[in-house]
Amino acid sequence: MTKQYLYGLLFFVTVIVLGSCYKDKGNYDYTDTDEVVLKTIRDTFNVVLPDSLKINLTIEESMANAADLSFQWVLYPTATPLTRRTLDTTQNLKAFITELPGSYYLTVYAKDRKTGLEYQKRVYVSVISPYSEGWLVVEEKNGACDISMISPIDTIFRNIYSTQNNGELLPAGTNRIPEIRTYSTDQRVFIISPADMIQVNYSNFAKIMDFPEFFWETPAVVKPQEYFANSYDEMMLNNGKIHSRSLNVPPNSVNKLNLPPEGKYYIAPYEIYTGSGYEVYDTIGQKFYMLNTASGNLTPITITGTPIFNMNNIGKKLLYTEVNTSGGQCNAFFKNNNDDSLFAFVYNYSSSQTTTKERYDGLNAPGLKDARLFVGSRLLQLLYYASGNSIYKLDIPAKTAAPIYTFPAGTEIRAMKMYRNLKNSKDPNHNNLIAVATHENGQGKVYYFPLATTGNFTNNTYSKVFTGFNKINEITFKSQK
Amino acid sequence: MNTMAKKIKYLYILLLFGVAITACKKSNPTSYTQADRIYFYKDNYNPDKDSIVYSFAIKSNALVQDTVKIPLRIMGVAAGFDRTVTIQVVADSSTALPQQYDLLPTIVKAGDYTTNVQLLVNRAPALKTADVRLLLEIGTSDDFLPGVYNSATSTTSGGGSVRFPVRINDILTKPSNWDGFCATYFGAYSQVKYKLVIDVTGRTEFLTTGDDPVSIPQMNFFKKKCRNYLTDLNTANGINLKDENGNEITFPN
Repeated sequence: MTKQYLYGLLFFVTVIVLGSCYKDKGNYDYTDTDEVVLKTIRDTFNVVLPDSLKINLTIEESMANAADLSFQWVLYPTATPLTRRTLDTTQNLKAFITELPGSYYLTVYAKDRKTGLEYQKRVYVSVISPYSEGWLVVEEKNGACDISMISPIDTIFRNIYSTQNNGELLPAGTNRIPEIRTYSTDQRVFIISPADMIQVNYSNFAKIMDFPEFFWETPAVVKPQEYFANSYDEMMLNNGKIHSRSLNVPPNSVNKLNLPPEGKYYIAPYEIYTGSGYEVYDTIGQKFYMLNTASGNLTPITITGTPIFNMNNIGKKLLYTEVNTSGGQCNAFFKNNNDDSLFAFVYNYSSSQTTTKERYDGLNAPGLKDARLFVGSRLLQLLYYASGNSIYKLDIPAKTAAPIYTFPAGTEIRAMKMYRNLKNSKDPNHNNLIAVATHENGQGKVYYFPLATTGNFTNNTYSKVFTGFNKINEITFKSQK
Repeated sequence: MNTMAKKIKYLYILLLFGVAITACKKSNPTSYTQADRIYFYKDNYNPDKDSIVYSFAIKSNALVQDTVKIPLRIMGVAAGFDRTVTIQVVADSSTALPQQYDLLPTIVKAGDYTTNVQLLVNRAPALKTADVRLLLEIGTSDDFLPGVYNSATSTTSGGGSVRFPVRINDILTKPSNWDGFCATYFGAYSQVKYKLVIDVTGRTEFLTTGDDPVSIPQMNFFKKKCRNYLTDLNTANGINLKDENGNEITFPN
């Protein structure tokens, strides 16, 4: 009897176990669905603001007109997308673009209302402003300034600032437009005048920030000179004093420019960035300092090896200093305190120490001691400077300068800058073209001088000239964001 | 054998029923069925979670009375009516005199899970020379029993207790985050230095969270501003400022 129960139980368990192995074939049928492919005429689109974007969407189906599709066109940045905007909900896109210049993805989602299946296609959209790239020209007329731009295709946009700011003009003497790219590729444009500095929108030049907003505590003397930004380190020069900040702080931190370092000093407005701070030159103590942007402290330069000259006690008047090559070499040009001898010192910087490399005493460089416009080559050991109505090229190792271009008599050279494309270093003009602004016979002009491999101007002359400007105070090349 | 077989049979039937009944039983979430309780709530991010030091010294001279709020949380569900909480002073662990404080009635409003103990503190002259202590304790009321006796906070959860210490004084009291945060910018603590920092920055607290947080760049600014102020003060006085222990006041570079 017990065996019968055991067998019965075993049978019962076996049935249950095997039952779980039974394949459920179901009582339904499979049917083919419509396969939809979305197509556009191309995969990349450009929009020059202000403008609309129109894209026709072609639909290919495996079953003719089988799908009942709804559409959604969504635009979002190619970088970490913090925003998205639905541009249209019809098959063919037609939308006015209000986004800031930059790179975007545009994805169209097509959903079959009958089956719930969704199809999508993504294209790339480049939004650019007419003011995205080109030479900014600060012009002065009737005691006020405005900004024009020479575009890469040689179109001149006039009065950009006043157009975007309800007719407001910039103060007389506006003389500097530092263009900044931060470590996060953020782009900022500042406009400096003798007693004011503002920030404008990099896209349309609308004013967005006044001088006091830059600081925790506004300086008593308002005399802005320069604004530098490299990696996490930013510094502003105001009345010879440094106001700095580090961007290496937690996200969303309120971050403004600090008080200047204590002490008696007056810093020269030239940029030497070392990777973890700036080297600056004190025109009173006639020596270099290292700046820590986070603490806002100045410390002496740490020198390695046998010094060829003493960075901490130069004892000369600085004319100009600039990074010469990407390897960290810098050139600094001095005249002695009697204004009768010229010197070029070469040094290598690094984040924590500096090596003095070469010194060239007794430069034969006519007009250099009184020059105020300088451009350093980033490719050769050369310095370009303006004196009178001529552009000179100083061959540093040869210690000799000579004019390489002379404008007509009476020409005033107002500004001179190297073409530096902060967005695209492969731009063929990058570090290979010098722009010069002049004032001739009552009008401002801008010349382009491409550089030959020797460092001279190609064919010893300019390649383009743009005329019809007012008195030019400043030119700066603005790169794309 | 028959008896054995029956036993096996009943055993299998019982087992089968047991399995079947268990499988069919709906698992209902358990609810709080104990008595309603309440406790001092320790938020991990609150620097005053374990105790509060209230100092009139960092307040306006005109202030003679203020209210210290200490957070409470209930155990159980919210009620449809206002409930009272009994807060009592542990006499043998307290030095505050009755005229130096008042405990306002503590109510958990209908529908609420939290409330605050409201401790009214009075600016008495004696507080300028020494601080006084109050150890508050949750007592039994008609609506609540004392809750969590002592539970530490963690990075993911708060803690609780039924006792909460409060110190009251009119002496500058070291901020709770001085050693962990402020010292990086202001250096070692002293009462004289803290007073200087308050005078220069206009702030008594330097918390990185809450309603009025400070940022690291702002602390760098405060450091430099205090350092400049001290330099000017020392120059003007012709002597370097010293703290209550006779040490010269300095700020880090």
